[in-house]
Amino acid sequence: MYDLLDFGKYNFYVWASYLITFCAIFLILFRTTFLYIKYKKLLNKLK
Amino acid sequence: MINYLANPNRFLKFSKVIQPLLGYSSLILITIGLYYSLLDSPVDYQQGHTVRIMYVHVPSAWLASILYFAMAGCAAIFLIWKHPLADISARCIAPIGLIFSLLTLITGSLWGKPMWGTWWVWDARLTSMLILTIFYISYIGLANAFESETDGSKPASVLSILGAINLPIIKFSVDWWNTLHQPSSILRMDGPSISNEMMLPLMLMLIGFFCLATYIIIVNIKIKLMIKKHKNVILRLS
Repeated sequence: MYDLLDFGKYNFYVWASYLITFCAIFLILFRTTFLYIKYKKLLNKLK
Repeated sequence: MINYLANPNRFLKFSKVIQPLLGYSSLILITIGLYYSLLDSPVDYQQGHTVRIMYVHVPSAWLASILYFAMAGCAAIFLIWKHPLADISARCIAPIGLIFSLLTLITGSLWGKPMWGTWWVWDARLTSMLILTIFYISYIGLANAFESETDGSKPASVLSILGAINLPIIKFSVDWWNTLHQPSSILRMDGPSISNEMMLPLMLMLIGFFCLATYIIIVNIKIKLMIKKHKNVILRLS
């Protein structure tokens, strides 16, 4: 597995681009889910 | 369809069906896409392994443009038919589009450094993409610049429609000017010039990213609708 994911001299550039992309996606996904749960709970208090 | 979904209650009913579908399909498509893009796609004869950056860079770039088009469309619907849901949709699309345009610039730089020997050049494609990012930032700034949210909707909508002029410039910049950025290899008059083995992971990632972005936008619209409906109570409780 390690050999397959070793991109030689381009390792840094390939991994950095994937890491940044998926970190950003997970951040917006977590923020959205957090806000949705927060407001849903807040509104459930009313019922 | 637009009139049907303009009713918030109907939109919420529609989102109940479409939301899980989008969530699960994005998860499946991105997982398979990641497998193909990192492990199973061929190495480029000139670029070597750096070509793998394409599988995150190109979907981000396409999505940044598609989302801007959707945002400008929603802004136009808001200006013409005054549908409040169109304004809410445009406001929810903007931050997601901004993230994808920033990702395009960052992953593009990470691709440019090993291939061109520089992180940035004032090339037509790169500059027009930077302008798109600035339009996203300006829209978000203008839409939230006023004390009352509704006051910012009109000028922000006009700005986003004006910014849509930039979309064909981004697309055709590589044909109109001499650029360091490579010409189009997918949307061409004579068909895609990219091999099928590379096309498969690219399409998987593109559709996966699209489903994920739509999923996030729908959840954000639901949050905005909740806040709008119970604004006073939420302010009191939080």
